[in-house]
Amino acid sequence: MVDHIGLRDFDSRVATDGLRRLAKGETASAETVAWVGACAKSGLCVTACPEQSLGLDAMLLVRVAKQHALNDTHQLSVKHDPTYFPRIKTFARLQLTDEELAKWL
Amino acid sequence: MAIGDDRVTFWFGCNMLRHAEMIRLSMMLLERVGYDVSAVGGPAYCCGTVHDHELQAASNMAARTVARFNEGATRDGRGKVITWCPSCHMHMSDIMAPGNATHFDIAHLSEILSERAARLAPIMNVPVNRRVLLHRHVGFATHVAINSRVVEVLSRISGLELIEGPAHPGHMCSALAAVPGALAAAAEGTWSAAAANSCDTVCTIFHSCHRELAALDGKDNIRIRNWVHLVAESMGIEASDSYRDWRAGEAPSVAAIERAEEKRYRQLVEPELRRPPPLR
Repeated sequence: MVDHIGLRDFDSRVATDGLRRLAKGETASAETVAWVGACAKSGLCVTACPEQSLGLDAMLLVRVAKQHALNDTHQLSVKHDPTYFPRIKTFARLQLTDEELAKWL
Repeated sequence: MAIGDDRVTFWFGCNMLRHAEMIRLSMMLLERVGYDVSAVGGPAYCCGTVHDHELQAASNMAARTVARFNEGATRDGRGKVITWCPSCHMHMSDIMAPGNATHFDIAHLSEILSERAARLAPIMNVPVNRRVLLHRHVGFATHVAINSRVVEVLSRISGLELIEGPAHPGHMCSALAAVPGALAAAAEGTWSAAAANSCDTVCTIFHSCHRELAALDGKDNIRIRNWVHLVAESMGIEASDSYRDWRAGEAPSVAAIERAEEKRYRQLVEPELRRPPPLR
């Protein structure tokens, strides 16, 4: 994913330092925030992380960092879609039987 | 087998409500391998993963869903929750279960069906003469060996030639949508591999990939199927796919639209169905 956001050659130490900062609720560099925001849950960071043997789950850390970037440092903008569940429910009503609707909606 | 091991909850998630046939086929497959299935999903069983911007609400949803699974385990003997959605599965493993007391185990549908493939084999007796490219992602392998599990099941279908496509970033296509160019690159990678290998079918594993690739159904004479559709075909079971057909230009029946309320259909469903495909 780093290719899609222009971070192929970005210094990994700076990126991971930003992760630590976000995890503590502190602002991080724009590059770290872009990296966190573009996480697609490939999980490649898990085995690439040199701290994995000590129990660190890098993908989970990125997830936590993203939550802090959304809610605390506000460096990522919230993309709330109020039509998310109404859309799903409308699709469901197109297809489900009455019994299924009663159970699942 | 311990008491209760054959009674399971099938947790299909939220977005699978777009794909009623895939829910029903999954339930049928679980029943065919010997499980007593209670299927749950939709907003009442939200994992909360889409609410990272509302952590308290997400936490409440997660606790509510875990409580319902606990109740199913203790009152109904359903000590195993079988997942479909990789987001739900990972959220349960990483956030929900560590944060709440759980009285159940989780496993993915692909793990369950591949482990009991010997029970499926005798009823997968109809040849499926397709040359299939499997659309894959690298993600979710941290939790479930999803690609190899699906291959284990599909490789038992007679007549089906299976080619493993390129493994794209992310755990499914929806994860790529927010990154400029990433979804189009994945679609292009899959489609060009299918064409280069003279495939007549692209097989999706997850619903979100199916949702994106369905718009390409028929392009270059390549059809879109999900892996559970193909397993059903091998059992001689008709496996219709309304979402794919609607995305490719058909429309739901007038009665179905009226049932869903026409105004809601026009406002919420049509824009998604008429969205440009990820690949021109």
